Amino acid sequence: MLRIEGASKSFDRILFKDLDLSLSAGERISLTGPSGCGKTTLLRCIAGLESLDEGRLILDDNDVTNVPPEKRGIGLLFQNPVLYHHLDVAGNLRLGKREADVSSALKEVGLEGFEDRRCERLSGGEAQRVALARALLAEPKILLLDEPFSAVDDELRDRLLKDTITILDLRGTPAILVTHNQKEAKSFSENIIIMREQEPKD
Amino acid sequence: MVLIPALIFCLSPLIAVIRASLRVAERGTVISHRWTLDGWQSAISGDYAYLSIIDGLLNSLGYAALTLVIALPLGWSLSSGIHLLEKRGSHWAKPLDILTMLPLAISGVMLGLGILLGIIRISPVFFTMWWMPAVPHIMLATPFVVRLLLPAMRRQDPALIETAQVLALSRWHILTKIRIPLLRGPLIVAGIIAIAMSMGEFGASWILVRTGAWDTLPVLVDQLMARPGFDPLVKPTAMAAASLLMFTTLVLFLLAERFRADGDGGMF
Repeated sequence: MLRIEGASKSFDRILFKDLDLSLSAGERISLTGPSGCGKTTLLRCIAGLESLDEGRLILDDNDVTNVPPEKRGIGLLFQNPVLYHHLDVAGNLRLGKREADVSSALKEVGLEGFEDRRCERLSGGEAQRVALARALLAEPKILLLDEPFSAVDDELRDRLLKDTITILDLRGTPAILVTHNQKEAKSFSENIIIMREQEPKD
Repeated sequence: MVLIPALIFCLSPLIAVIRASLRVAERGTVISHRWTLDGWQSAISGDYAYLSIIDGLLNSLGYAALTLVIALPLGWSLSSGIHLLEKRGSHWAKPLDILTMLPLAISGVMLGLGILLGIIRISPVFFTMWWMPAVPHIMLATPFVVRLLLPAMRRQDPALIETAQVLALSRWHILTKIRIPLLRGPLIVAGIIAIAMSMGEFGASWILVRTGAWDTLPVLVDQLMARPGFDPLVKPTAMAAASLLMFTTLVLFLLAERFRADGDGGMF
């Protein structure tokens, strides 16, 4: 499915070096580690929002290292739910897929009847569910989750995580979760990758 | 304490113009004035100039529309380009940013003169092109468009565009469905400012307006003011033209204020 070979990335310091990672169909991986160790940057590199300094990204046996994000078919959920407030919930979902069955998508994430809601009136948890539904409507080959539940309380976080796992399992969508929370990492997947902070760049 | 003198300072010239448009001098042994709409009537009928103020207003609006149609996309493109260079950490971002401000560094008259000399070198045929006076308007309005759009683009959460990219939206759809709607407010303000800049521009227009048929409102005011003042209706007519220009730009600025987001100071 996804293979990362010898990936390196640095800004003012090395974030990761010679990193290898693979993700097979339907698999889930948790990425954890201290702040600034490059977890988010790695996700951004996989999504195509950042380029790797070195290394290759193979997706379904195709080298996508230099493929722009819109052509990779990888979904990404940011830490804060990114919704477009000039569109209602249905409008946001149709960005993921123009002829989307919005009602079913909302039902899947437990937001039945939310089609006409204004995005600014949604709670944090609801907004993240809409963002999840939209990302899934685009039928991504892989879903990347960058601490998507960190802004909600513990109880809601557990519920959202559980629901997300159920949906991913049902769809068979492979996913990588970045989190600081060990418990969340363990709940999400059996495979947990711990990233360490690299030495300063020479 | 400061508000009253500030209001007097800002409003008194405007009130003086309106007042002067409504008063005609009567010469007798002592000069006296009477209140009348004669100045407005002669301004509308165009008795003292090549054009009436309505024709002048239509000319001004025509040039303003042309300015809007060109300056707004041009300013958008420049702002997007500068913003993109900034995001990439390019050293060219700052020079390009400064370059867009250059037309503001010289006066309108100099700009008009430069364009005049430039078109003589290219082809004198351009003298007969009615759109020539719009060129400096576009050059002067574009920096303002950039100053309004660039900070708005900088303020925008990059995740909004990145999410759209990840959702596989094409560049066209990102522009039309995301970027333009999200920057609707600053775009409307920039458009209104571009129109207002064009409406009020005098120096370059004065140089480049080659026939009375192209007269804009500010040029018309100047022409009326330049007429011999022995006819008591000349000054009120000029002031009526000035009042109309003032009202038009005032309405435009009020409209701009209506669409300006709270705390949106731009970069002036």
